[in-house]
Amino acid sequence: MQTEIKKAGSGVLRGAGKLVDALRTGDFRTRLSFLIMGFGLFTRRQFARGFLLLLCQIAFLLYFAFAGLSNLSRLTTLGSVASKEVYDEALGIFVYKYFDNSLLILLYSVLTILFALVFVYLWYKGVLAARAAQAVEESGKRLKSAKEDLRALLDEEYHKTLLALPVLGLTVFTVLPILFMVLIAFTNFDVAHKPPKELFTWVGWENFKALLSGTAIAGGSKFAHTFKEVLLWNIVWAVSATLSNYFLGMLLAIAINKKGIRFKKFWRSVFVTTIAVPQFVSLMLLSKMLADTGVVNRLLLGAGLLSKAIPFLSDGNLARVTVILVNLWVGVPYTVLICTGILMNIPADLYEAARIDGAGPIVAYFKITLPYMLHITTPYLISQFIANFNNFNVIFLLTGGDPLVLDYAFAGRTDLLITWLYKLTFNESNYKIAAVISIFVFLVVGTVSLIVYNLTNAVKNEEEFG
Amino acid sequence: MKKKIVALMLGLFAALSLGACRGMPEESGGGSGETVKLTLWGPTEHQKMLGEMVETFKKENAGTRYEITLAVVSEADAYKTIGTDVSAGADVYAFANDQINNLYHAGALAKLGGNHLEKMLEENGEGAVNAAKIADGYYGYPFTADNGYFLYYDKSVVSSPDTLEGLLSDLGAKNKKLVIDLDEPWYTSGFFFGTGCRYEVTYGDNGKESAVTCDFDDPVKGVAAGKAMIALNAHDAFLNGGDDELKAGFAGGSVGAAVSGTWNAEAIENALGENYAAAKLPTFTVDGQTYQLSSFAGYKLYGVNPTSKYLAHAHRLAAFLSGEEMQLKRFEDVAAGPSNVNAAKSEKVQANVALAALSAQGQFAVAQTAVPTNFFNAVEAFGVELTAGKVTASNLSEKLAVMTADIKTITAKK
Amino acid sequence: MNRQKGKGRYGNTAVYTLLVLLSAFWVFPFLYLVMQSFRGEPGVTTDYFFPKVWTVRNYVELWTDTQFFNFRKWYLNTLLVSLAVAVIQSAVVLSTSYALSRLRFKMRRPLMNLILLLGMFPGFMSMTAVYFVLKELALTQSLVGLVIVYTAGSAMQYYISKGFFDTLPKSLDEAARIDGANRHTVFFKIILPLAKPIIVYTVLVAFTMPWGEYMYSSLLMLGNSDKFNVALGLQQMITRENSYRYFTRFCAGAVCVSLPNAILFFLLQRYYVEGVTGGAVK
Repeated sequence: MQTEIKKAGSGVLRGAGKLVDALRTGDFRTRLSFLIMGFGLFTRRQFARGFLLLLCQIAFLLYFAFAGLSNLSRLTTLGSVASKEVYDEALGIFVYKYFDNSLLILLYSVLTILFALVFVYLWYKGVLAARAAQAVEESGKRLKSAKEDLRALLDEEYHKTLLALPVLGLTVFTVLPILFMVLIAFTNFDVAHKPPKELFTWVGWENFKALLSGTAIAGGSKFAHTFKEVLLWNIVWAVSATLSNYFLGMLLAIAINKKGIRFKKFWRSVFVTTIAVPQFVSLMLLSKMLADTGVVNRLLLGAGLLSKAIPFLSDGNLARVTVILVNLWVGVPYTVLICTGILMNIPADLYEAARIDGAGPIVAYFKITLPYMLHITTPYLISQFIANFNNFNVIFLLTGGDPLVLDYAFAGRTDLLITWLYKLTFNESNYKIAAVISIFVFLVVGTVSLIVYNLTNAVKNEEEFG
Repeated sequence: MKKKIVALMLGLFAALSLGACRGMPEESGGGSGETVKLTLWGPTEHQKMLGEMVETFKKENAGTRYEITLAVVSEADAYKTIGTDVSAGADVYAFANDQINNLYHAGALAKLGGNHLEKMLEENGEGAVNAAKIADGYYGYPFTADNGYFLYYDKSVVSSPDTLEGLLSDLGAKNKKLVIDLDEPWYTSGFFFGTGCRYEVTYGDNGKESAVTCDFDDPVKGVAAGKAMIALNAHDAFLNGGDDELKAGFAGGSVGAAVSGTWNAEAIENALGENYAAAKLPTFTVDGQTYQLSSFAGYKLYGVNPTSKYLAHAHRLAAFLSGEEMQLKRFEDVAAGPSNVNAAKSEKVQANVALAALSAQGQFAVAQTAVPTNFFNAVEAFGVELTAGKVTASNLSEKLAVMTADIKTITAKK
Repeated sequence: MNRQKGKGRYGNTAVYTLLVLLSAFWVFPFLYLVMQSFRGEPGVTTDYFFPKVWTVRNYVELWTDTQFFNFRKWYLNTLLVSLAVAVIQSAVVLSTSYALSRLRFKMRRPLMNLILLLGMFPGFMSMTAVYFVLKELALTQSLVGLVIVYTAGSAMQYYISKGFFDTLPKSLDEAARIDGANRHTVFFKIILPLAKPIIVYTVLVAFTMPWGEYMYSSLLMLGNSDKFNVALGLQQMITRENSYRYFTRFCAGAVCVSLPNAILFFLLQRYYVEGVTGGAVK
């Protein structure tokens, strides 16, 4: 992390240096590119690139003038008047007028800032391109034509072609909402400050302080205790869920793939059908089947195998085990698929060599299969850990986080941080606290994952393995 | 160069800059001569009936051209659906009264005034009218008063539904069960209110809670309620279950009595046939003292969206749908219990078994006005622990104290 | 459990037993669902195990009784959405994972870290912002908007595909480039044909997702039941008021939703199994 910050910092300095250089050594056309984007390019016959840059500049300035400015100017206050209620004698009703909407002001301001950053980046690149074009011209070489540019997009610059749309989608629909949400943590956006009726405004670190001191939510004094317990269970859950799914999936994949096992297609289909059933159906069904009065207990009691129903979902500790088992049912199909795919890619000659060397099947597993699989799937395992850590669906649809206990501040024994967060905040529209807890969740998971991810061999020796 | 990225950014710039200049709708009330477009939300099973009601409305207001669209949003989902973006919500929508707090704060309810307000206050029962009140005025048009609960039972099995003890012994004799959902705080509160415990929330001027009084941990009243629940849970003839279990049980014959509301009337009547009966909730005795089980009384109301482009018309529609005539039609079509005083007095309504029981229970019921969520969370935790056997006579006071402390915490501050 | 040398029927028996036992557990809930869908009596649960009355009425009514629950329309909506998502999401995921696996560029490592970080934020917190962005693009209450929401963040699911691409030998690429192919050609003509298993996996996962997603659907459609997808629509059938009468129809609906997806997998399995054999380098 530190090296990346240092790299970014020196990058910025280098960039500034390049700009100064372009200004000093640039000719008239290059210097004018500082004000009119693309000038240095389309005056040098690189029409397509040049005009595209100019278009960007116009589009951005238009947007800024008509929408961006009005929202940014209200960013510091997030609006002054939200709505007014007035009685209209003639109509016999109360009439409403709306003015500032804090939510929209914040959202559009973030959007404007994002656009501005992209704009500045394009401007910077444009200036440098003008300078570069000038240098090419001066040295007598030919400038790249539009056709050559396009061709590069399919070769050296192919990554840009491939990643353009995905990154755009990510930026608008993932990065923007997350930035927005992080900022909410510093406002008082909650049930009493909800646009369009009310404004919300900046409160700095107040929410964080309130949360840590236990006054932010009901059951305040139990908050620290609850947070600790839920976090602990969350980690246990994420590790158990990920590892159990992985190893059982691998086991099944190896079992089905084994020479001498017939009906491979059939076995695979059986285990993968659970993907086909939507989770909200299967989990709802399972929660009914595993209830104290549900089918499973009824059958076991009827067959005389039990004298009292097993509280699969109503006993705190048993519920935790049940949830992990049900998650196996839901998740193993995916790991079976993945492990099968990778298993089939392991070069057969590795096993041949081992056999020739006299190694038995168990040794082969531990020395070839397992290391290979772990190597390939380490990034996957980490992403699964993160996904399971925040696995809202399985817990929420199966138990809703229940069973509730008085010991906790409105959390149940199977609640993850994320489901607890959802319950606390969305029932009460306590968005500001939701945002703060999200940030805490992120910090915990993020720190752990980044460290592990960047330390693992898979990443270090990525080049080696192909 | 980065042509593709650039081209896409352009597209996005353009689209968003066009859109970001849009403001909020500021007019309210429509002119004559133009078509008034309204959207009305109601649950799936009422769509047909609402369609007919809307036709009648159009006929009675033939002077204006109305275009009314129906959409499917259940009363329980009203807040969830409208909460994100009030300006995109329906002009008129039905909601259950426990959401009035959230809806009011989200700015999704227009205040009633003028003739509409007078008419509403005049024509509806006191409980219903109170259900529409929050902060500085009235914000909804009540149209049903039947969101409460009472006792259903099998006449051929139960002969003494008046007392809990009698009920349980009748059931035990025929090896049948009584189903109550002790995990559900909406029902368990009935025990506490029954022994005389109080719960009150005071709202300040800004519409937020300023004080909470609760004595569920009272060493006599609270403990009595707790003891009653523990004893009930341990009884052989008792089954802790919800709607699904009780309906399956009545149909299958394993259940002889249950606590539920009018939404299950049809199913239970079909299951029990001639033996179908309903009554007020029974009394229960603890340490020699007898108490009457209390309950929550709930209402459903029509809310008008203050961001509606045709606000005056929306009020008119809401007032119409909650008027006496429409409430009677609602009773005929879907057996909903009216909040309108005259409608409730009609013979047919009085003859309905479930509604009669509800009405009998009504005198012991507590209005469920604007109860904050932490109340239900705390009581649910208590109930769940009790049914799991974690609350016993020895730790009862302790558990009650924790629950009450939770109930009393006020969350939102200015 | 271990890769034995092909002999050892003893080992095979153990494996078969394991497979049979586990299959039973896996399939039981689904069989139970199917059984409920043929039940004639109403109600969510029953006091007994096997239905007293077996009927196909639930299936018939599911498709013909569109007065309250227009399952036909929802099914069509979801089919359209999942086809679109299957295509778009697969394209995005495969492009991203190929770029991150095979191509080398400055922002590669930072991008991977960024995606990792983004995945750590709880998903539902973004819903408000996403709603308003779509509102600006006038795409709320539309299926197009829904498709965009589902596919916009697809790049974040690159892990598995990238892992697969990482196992393909780099020598393949190098041989092709020596022959004069540009990276685009390498991707489409060399790598993708070898990537059938992972393509099938990606398409399958993308296709099945919209059938079970109801949170964003309910956020965007605002009660406009014409535009519901099956998940949201089926949810309407099991509300407190409706569940008694419509639960069995709900089960029928769930089966109708699951079957195509299950069949799809069964059919595609052939490609999946054929997979990659070693030694593709000439």
